[in-house]
Amino acid sequence: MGFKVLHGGLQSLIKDLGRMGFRGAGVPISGVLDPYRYFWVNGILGNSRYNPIVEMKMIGVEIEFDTDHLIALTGFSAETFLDDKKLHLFRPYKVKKGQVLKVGKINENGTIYLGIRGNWNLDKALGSVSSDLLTPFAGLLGRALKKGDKVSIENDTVPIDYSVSIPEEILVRRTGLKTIRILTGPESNLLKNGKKNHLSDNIITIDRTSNRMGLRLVSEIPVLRVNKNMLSSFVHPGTIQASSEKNLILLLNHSQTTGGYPRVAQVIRGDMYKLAYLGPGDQILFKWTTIEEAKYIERYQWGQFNLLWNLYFE
Amino acid sequence: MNHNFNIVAFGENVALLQCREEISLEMLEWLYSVDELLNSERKNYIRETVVTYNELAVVYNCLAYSFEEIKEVLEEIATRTKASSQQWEYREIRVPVCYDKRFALDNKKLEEETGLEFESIVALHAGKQYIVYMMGFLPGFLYLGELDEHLWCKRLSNPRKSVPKGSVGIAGKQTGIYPTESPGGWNLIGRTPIDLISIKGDRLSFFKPLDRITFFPISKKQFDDFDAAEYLNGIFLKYGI
Repeated sequence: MGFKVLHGGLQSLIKDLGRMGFRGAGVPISGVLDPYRYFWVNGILGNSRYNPIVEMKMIGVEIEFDTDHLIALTGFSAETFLDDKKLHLFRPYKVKKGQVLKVGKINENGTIYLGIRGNWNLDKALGSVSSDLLTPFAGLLGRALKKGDKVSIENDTVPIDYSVSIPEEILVRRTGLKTIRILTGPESNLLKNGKKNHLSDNIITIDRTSNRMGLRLVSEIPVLRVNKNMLSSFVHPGTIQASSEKNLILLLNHSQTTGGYPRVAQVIRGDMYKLAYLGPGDQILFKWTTIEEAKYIERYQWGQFNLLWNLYFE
Repeated sequence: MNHNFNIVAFGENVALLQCREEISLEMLEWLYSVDELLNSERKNYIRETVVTYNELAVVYNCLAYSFEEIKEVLEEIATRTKASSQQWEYREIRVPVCYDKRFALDNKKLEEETGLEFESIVALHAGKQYIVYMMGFLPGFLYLGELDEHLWCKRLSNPRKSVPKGSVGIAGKQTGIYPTESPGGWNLIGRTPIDLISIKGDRLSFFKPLDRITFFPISKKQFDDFDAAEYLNGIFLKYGI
């Protein structure tokens, strides 16, 4: 029961919300970047929203099912096939034993979530099934999927409603992704021109050297007033570090837990999911906001999401 | 006497208690004491805490609590935690290191930079007890200090793409051990055969902040034959873990 990996793609990772509570020992969170599309793919299948999924970027997996299963894909954007049949995102599909799912190339710096109905028999480490690229956990806990891997899932193909429509709000739209709202960080005072500064009034490009740990950003004009040698200090997902006058690092969910560069800003929690759909070559516009507004945005987003969830899945 | 501190917001869900930017054992003991007290008294809305050289980061549930509320709690606990009010119980752990030139990849650079022969560098490195100031950067990475001042050195200008697991490096005033193969910019002077990461239940590493560590040199032959599991078991037995 479950699937066998024929092709792992580029860093296809099994994930849940990740690990909390071990950053003091240097263990990163390693959770999904877009919790909304993660929860939704499980919702479509009638799973608990916290069920494991496969998170894919750039090139997705090719897997063969060894029994009948219910599957779904969410996120943006890929041409996915079940044998020769093209699949749509945000829809449930019944797959038969021996059929092959191919996710292939993921376009426009997107992320694809693959959900499968049932209990995934996976080991946990420190409370999570997430693959961690830094900690040497055993097996799939410590690495991406590769050819020959087998994941066992207890299938239960209960009837589900295939005719359910897809709410507009849950689809990923490319418009509006570029504006990322930020809060001040502990070293924001090192930025040029204080608050009305070049970090926000400037188009910033994502560099090719970006990865799951962080996006490398390049600004055309200097953003730092002065650089500073720092003691290694706490950093977390969303932290924007300035490694030099024009180079920035925006940390993602696989980031290390401490860093030695000035922490010049922090992306608001409500905008973190957008980073699942941005990557090399994309441009970002940072916009300063306040903690009050940031919390309002996060509450609003979860409120809207839970309304949809209840409407469709409860 | 208490330490002067400042509490700032770092995003919606982190309150950062900051002290003067310096490396001081006394300040670290104080920060770890505040951390301990905070975790023993206020578990429900605090998600996790991380101590670094001069900061304590408190990650909290920001949809249920405001920064001002967390700040107030933190201020109260920090004010109540007297500097050096408790004798910190620390452990003394000996860690074997092979300083063979096959592992000490930066021995030439260090000889030039310090003006010392490599044998003297080894003698100085192994001749001192180090404090685990903090953990982080990589899982299980130990920040150890302080180096003998003759060994203070710059990081590599071009960090290595891959540093082998167990490598012992020095940089600035610090020394450290790479727990896994990873990129890194510290000057490599040797390698330890023991595992820094030993996952047992909800614990990642046997080592703890403020442990005292001394390195003892072993030969390449001893390195190859070293029974790391047995050695670690010996340490576990001694400390009852």
